[in-house]
Amino acid sequence: MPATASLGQFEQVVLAAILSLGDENAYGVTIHARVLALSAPKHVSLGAVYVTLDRLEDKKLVTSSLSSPTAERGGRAKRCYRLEAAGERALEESLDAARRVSDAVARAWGRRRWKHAHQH
Amino acid sequence: MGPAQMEARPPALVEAIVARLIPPACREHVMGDLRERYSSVPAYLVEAATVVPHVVASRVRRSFDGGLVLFEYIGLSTIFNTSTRASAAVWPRTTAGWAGVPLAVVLGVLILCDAYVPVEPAPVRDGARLDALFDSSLIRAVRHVLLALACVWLAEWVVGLTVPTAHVPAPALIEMSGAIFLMVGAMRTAWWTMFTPGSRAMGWPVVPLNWPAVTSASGAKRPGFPTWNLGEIVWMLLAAPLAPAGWRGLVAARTPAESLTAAVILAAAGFVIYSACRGLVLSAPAGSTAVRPSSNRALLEARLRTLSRWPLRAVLVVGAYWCDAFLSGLHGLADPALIGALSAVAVHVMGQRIAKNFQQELDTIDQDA
Repeated sequence: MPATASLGQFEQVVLAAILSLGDENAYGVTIHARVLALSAPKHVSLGAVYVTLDRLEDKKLVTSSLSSPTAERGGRAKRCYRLEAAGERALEESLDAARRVSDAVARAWGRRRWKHAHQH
Repeated sequence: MGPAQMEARPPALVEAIVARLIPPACREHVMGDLRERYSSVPAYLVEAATVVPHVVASRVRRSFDGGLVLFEYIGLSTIFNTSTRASAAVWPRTTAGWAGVPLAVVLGVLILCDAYVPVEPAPVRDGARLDALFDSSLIRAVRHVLLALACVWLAEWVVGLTVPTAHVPAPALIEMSGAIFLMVGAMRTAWWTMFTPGSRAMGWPVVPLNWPAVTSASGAKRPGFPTWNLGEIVWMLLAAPLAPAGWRGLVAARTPAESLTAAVILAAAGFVIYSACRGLVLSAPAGSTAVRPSSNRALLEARLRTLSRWPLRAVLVVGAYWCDAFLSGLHGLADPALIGALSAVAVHVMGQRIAKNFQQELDTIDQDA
């Protein structure tokens, strides 16, 4: 099995946004809106989303294709993004790692709070 | 959504300016996204101002070619070294470090220009020599180099206004500009020819020197017109400035070591120019489908054999430049040791790229078979 690409935190958010939007509806504007919702209250610029999408495409975690032009976009096409199997794997591994970190923190906090409660 | 909202659109002039700033590779969808989110002109401008640097930086990252920049750096360092040495009488050595300004400007503008190259391939035109010569890769290289030179002159004008003693003297700047135009223009044209992936290749040939033997081996027909081999022209352009440099060194030499070094420079330049001239005589036609090497294994192997001689010429040219830089002593960014080390890396990079390209093409031919 090929090694999975490691993901940064923002890359995870963008991949999650693409996954939740589905293949048909994941393009710059919608991905940005979903990323804003996922990373609230932190503000994220549209440009940062483009940079990350390019990087994810270079890592072959997502693929993109141009859709047909629409009038509301001034006759310009959308670039629709699609999560690849490698992207799903990378996202899954990131989630597992995040879960392990979360469990470890919860256990440590739980012990400390238990000790804290007994001391007082 | 009401009709008034449907009509909401940025002014055409504003949209056209923003579109020019966005690299062509992502212009279509980025402009569409900006249009879709349009609410007012100030908001549009603010959004465009935040998006443009991001997309340009991303395109620079994707289009950056370390091998090409390395080669250009070596060529430019040598040019600056030679030009500033020529004007040493009017330009004190203490300000020689300012030669780095034009070098940085040229490299920066060329890297930025690469980010603005469209991703779609230029149409490949077959057969006609003029068509081949004026194919987009050559025009593009010339355009980029001219823009870089214009920026250099502008930067030097600004340096002249702020630090009057530090700007490069006009004669040296003119000499530099001419050399940069020839060397970097040719280098970029040849680089794209050799290292553009197969599906995006511009149709420029890398021509075998042993053309008659190749045609008889492969059965391909030789068209009735002579055509230049760009690769050979590049070597000639790289070697040409060395000849007067070697001659000057020979005339001005004061010690036997200096005479020997100058003689080595002259000999290397002579050999490279001679072999390049032979290449001109024996060249194959540009852009002709009959000699498209990837279509024929025999041609491809012949091309590989021809290119295997390149490292020898590369070592000769680079070595001669190194000697030339050694004769002139340390000079700002053109430190001979640095040039030598970088040249060795550059020749290695080039060899690896060539080998990789040929292996890919051979694999494709084997798969097709």
